[in-house]
Amino acid sequence: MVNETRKHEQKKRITGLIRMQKLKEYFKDLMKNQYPGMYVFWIHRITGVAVTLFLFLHIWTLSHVFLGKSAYDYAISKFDTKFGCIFQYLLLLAVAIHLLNGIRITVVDFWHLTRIQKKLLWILSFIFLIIAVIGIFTVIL
Amino acid sequence: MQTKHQGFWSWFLQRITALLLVIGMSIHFFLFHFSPNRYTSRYYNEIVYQYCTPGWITFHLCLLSLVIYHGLNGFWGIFLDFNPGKRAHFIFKYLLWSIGLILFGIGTYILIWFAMNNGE
Repeated sequence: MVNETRKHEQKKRITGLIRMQKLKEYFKDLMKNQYPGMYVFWIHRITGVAVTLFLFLHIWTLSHVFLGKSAYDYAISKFDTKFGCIFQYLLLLAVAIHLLNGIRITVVDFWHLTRIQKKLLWILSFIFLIIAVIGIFTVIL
Repeated sequence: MQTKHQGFWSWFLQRITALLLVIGMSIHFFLFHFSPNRYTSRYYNEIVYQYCTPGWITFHLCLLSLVIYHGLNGFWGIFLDFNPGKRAHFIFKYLLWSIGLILFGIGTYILIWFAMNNGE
């Protein structure tokens, strides 16, 4: 019995090691292939996870309505502070990056436009800059 | 090859929900968080008196289900990249399903709550 649990522990540790190796591999891949596409791939993942986590926050904020009108208004007012505005701006940037890159991925996937994916990336990053600048004026200022 | 036969619908629906979300999120952002040219938060009265029509409630229910599917399916895709074992596969799948259903439940409850207090 003891032997078995020890074996199980060992197995667990080994799989854990493999996972770590996998992460290291991903990192090595990133370091080896320092192309814009590779960076954008990781940025796409990170912004995606961040925006999904925001969904939880958003629903949690809105759920204050169960505690009444004043509790709800108080929860929402947290987004109107200076910190809240900067947070909203970062959210806008994350959504914009994810959205624009998502359009690029979909276009390349569906219409077999792999050859112009780099050009698309530069066009979309230009659009992203425009959105970022407009965002400063509408969200922060 | 597992990848050859599985995950087509997951991949395809991820694209479709993405395209619908681009439209839906734009509407949500511009109507619910921007006045003509400036960012604002919507407080309780504003929502209850302007945005609690059946149409908007339905719109938000659709948006909620789309965003939950897209987000959690994204997590699932990242998870599959780590080449998980069978057990982890099983656990994570049902974990995501339950998280998604709970989130959708809470979101629906919030929307219904707003609609019920409409005009009081």
